[in-house]
Order: sequence, then C-alpha cells, then structure tokens
Amino acid sequence: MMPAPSEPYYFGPDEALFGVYHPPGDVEERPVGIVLCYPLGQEYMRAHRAFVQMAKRLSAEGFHVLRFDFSGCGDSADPVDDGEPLHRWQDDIGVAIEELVEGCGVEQIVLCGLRLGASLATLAAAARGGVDGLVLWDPIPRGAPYLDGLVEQHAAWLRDSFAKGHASAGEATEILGFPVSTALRDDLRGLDLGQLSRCPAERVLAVDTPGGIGSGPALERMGALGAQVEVCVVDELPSWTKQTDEVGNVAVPVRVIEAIVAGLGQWYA
Amino acid sequence: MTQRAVRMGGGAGLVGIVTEPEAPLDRPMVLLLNAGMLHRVGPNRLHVRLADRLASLGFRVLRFDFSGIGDSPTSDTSASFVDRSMDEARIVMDFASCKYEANRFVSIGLCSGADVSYGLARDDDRVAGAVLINGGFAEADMTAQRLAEAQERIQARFYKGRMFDKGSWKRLLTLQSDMGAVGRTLKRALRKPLEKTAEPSTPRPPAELARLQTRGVQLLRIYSEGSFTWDLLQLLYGANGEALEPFPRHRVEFLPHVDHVFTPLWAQEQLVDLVGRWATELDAAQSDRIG
Repeated sequence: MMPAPSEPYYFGPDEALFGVYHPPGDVEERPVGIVLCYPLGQEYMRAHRAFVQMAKRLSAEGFHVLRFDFSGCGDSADPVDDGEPLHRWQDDIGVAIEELVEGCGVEQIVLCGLRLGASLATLAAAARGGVDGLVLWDPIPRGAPYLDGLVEQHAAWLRDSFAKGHASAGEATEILGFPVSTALRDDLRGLDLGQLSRCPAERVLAVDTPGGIGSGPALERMGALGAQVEVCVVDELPSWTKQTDEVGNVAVPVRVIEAIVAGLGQWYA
Repeated sequence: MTQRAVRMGGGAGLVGIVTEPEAPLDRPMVLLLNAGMLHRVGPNRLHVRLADRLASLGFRVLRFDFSGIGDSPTSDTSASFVDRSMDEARIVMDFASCKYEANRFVSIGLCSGADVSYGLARDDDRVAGAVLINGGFAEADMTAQRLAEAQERIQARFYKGRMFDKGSWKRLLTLQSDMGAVGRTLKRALRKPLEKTAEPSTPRPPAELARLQTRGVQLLRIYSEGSFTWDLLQLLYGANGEALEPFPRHRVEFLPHVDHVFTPLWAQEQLVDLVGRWATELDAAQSDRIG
C-alpha cells in the first residue's frame, strides 16, 4: 500500500515547531491521530530514519500521523527561555495534539515515543488527560540513571577520540555533540515515571528491546492507576544507542515498527 | 530570522528548510548538503547552527535532503550518488533562482557532502564558492588503495598519540581496550616493512583547479585531526596540501583535536566561526572583483 505524500511544515505559536504530517493512505481512514515523539540528542539523529518509516507505515494503515521536533531540537526553533525543558517539551506535545485535533478532526489521540520521547509522552498525557493510547518504545523510567549513562558514553567517546584532553571543564555541559543545560540536568534527575499521580492513558503498549533499560515499576504504576498495560518484547538491536564514527550509519528496526503497527491496528480494528 | 519548509522539484519533491535572515543582504545563497545519510540538520545538528550563523550575517540559507535521505522521496535513477546528488543540487538551485531570485551560490558539505560540494563548484558556474569539510575529492581520486592507506595513516597517528598516555596503557593491560582493533593495527604495522611499497607519486593538483581559479571560485577546505580525509589530502596533495599553495583562492585549514563530525561544542563553534568569516570575506572579495 502506497502511503500518501507527507507534508513538512512549521506550526504552533510563532510557527516554531517543525513537523511532518502523514495523511491516511489509500485505505479506510481511522479517526485516530498519532503523535510521534522523538528521543533527544544523538539518539534523535539515529532514530530519525526509523521514525520516517514508522510514520509511513502507520499512515498506510489509515492513521493520521504527525511527527515533530521538540523545540530546540532538529528543525524546530530554539526556545527563547531554556528554563524547565521537560515541561516545555510536554507543552510542545500538547501543541502537536491540538494541531492534529484541529487540523484533521481526529477523535482519538495516541502518543508514541522512543526513549526520552516516550517519557515525555507519558508525562504530557498524564498532565493533560484525553489521550487514548500510549506507545512507549524503550522508555526512560528514571532520568538519573539515563543521564549518568549518557555521561559515561560521552566520557568513553572522549577517551578514544582525538579530542581527549580537550573537553569542556566542570560538570557535563555537553553530551555526544549536544548541549546539556543545568536546567535539563536538574529536570532529568527529577524524572521518575514510577511517581505518576494520574493515569496517562486507558491503553499502554510498552515495546522493549534488549537495549532498553526496563520500565517495570513505571508500568506497574500505570497499571495501578487504571491503564491496561501490554508489554511486547522485540529481539532487535537498538540503532539509537550505537556509537560509531561512521557518518550516516543508520538502521531501521523493522520488527519494532511492525510490532507497533500491529499493536495499534488491534487497538483500532 | 525565520525558517520555512519547502518542497523542490515538483510533486513530492526534495524537502528543505530555508533560513531567512532578518536583514537579507545581496549575498550568495548558501546550500548545505547532506553529510552521508544524516538528514538536513547535519551531524550533531551542526547544519542548523551553521544556517543560523550565516543567516545572522545576512545570507539566505537552504539546507535540504537529497533523494532517499531524511524526508525526501527515493529516486529511481541508477546514477552514482555523487552524480545524482549534483543533478538534484542543480534542481535546488533552479528552484532558488525562481523563488528567491538567487543567481550565485555557496555550497557547503561535510564528508560525502564535501565531495558533492566540490563537484558543484567545478561544474556549475552559479557556484561562487564552496566549503569542503573533511572531504572534497573527485571520485577518481578516491581509489580503494588510497582510502585504505589513509585509514592506516590515521590509525598510526591515533596510536602514536597514545604511546605515552598512562590511561591507554592501563586499559590495554587490563584488557579494557578494543583488543581486536589493537591486534589488527599491530598486525598491519609488523607486516608493512616486509611489503614492497610503491613509490609515492609526486603530489599534483588536478588541472580543474586552474579553471576554478580563472573563474574566481573560492574554495575553503577544512580538515579535522580525527578524520582520515586529512591523510587522504596529504596523499593527494602532499604535506598540508602543499600542492594547492599556488592557488590563492584555495584555502586549507587544519583543526587539531577535532573528530570527523565535530562532536565537541567548542569544535562546532570553531567551525561555525571559520565558515562565517570566510563567507563574509568571500562576498567582499567577489564584490571588489565585480566592482
């Protein structure tokens, strides 16, 4: 099935957010809008191609799909104020939801995110309500170990690079090519999906790969808050964590994408 | 400064982002080309930073995806990557001429994008200048033998720099290093003296450089220490690219301690500063020449 042509554009206040809308393909339209939430930093770079393919597959199944870049990421404009980035990115998700609802008249919204994008989707859904489904692809349940892991990756990269001995001084202000502000570090250290106080969505599909860090307590919390939680384990190497010096070495995790498409297809059969 | 998404070439054409300066000046339009398969934001979002800096200097900037990369549709042509990319860059320039009345361009590319950037400067009279970052070679010059030799040279440089590093020895002795890579490098190093190596040819600049010089095209070559393309440049053009010295419009810059894709933020800033200064000087020089 050929997906319909996608439309890249800027939207939201001051047209600061970049997104690509994928209309339903040449099949029966489903009145469901799916907002795709990218991971951040180097993981965003590696996941971009997978998200393009996932958006095409979902639109070919009749869904309205909007994938967008968080403010200060990808093609979106840099924010004027860098304070509380996790809240700002949750607001961005809200703007993307409104864009799909107002622009396409969808009746139900699903948020689908990878890594930190999945965590932000969960927080945004819990805060605003009205989200029907959540797809969490290798979510980050707690920010502190995630941040520590990235800092370790950066140190390991630096050790084996020509830049050794020429790092930024002091606390980590950059990780693998991307700036990390004090506000972002503080926000990440406070992130804990196990502390959710509201059910983010009626249905949650967690897709775990061997590269994920496990989200058991967070999923248990969502279940306790009333969500129907399904877990799907896919044995596929995660392309978003691969460290390589090769420019353009990207892979598309086809089995993960098919698992997500199948899961959403069952939800909205 | 504002950003606008565009599709170029008709139908579901190539996708690009135009960064418009707040105060546009009569300057060439800048084209930022894909680095490998990475989409138009560039490695580490470097192309966005470059676009913002150049727009702040009055340049209109268009960064876009070649077919099959990022958001651009795939192409069914069987042409080589460089040939297809150059054809598509010409489509983009045609679009920019119609939409923005642009008739002079500066192309900027990193890695494979630098090779396309060089080809555009060589073959299209609309290109007034080109920035070639960790690349910028003609396809015929990148023989498998030369590429292999360049890779060996960069490994030798890397390990030479680690010989007196206590941390490296500690990781080696406690087997924390990549032992496979160390073994392969040692094997090559031991084997090398036994092999009969070909006499190095005298570095010679390609004849097309003289034509570029006559046309007034300015070239800025930038190489980072952590890129094998620095070694390739020396294999082709001698130490520090000495064979290019007779061409005053052909500048070579070497950036120590920088990796192939400019990962440290200070390195990104260094690159953005360098390209911004060069672009401003290029415009001044060409205005003088026209005047």
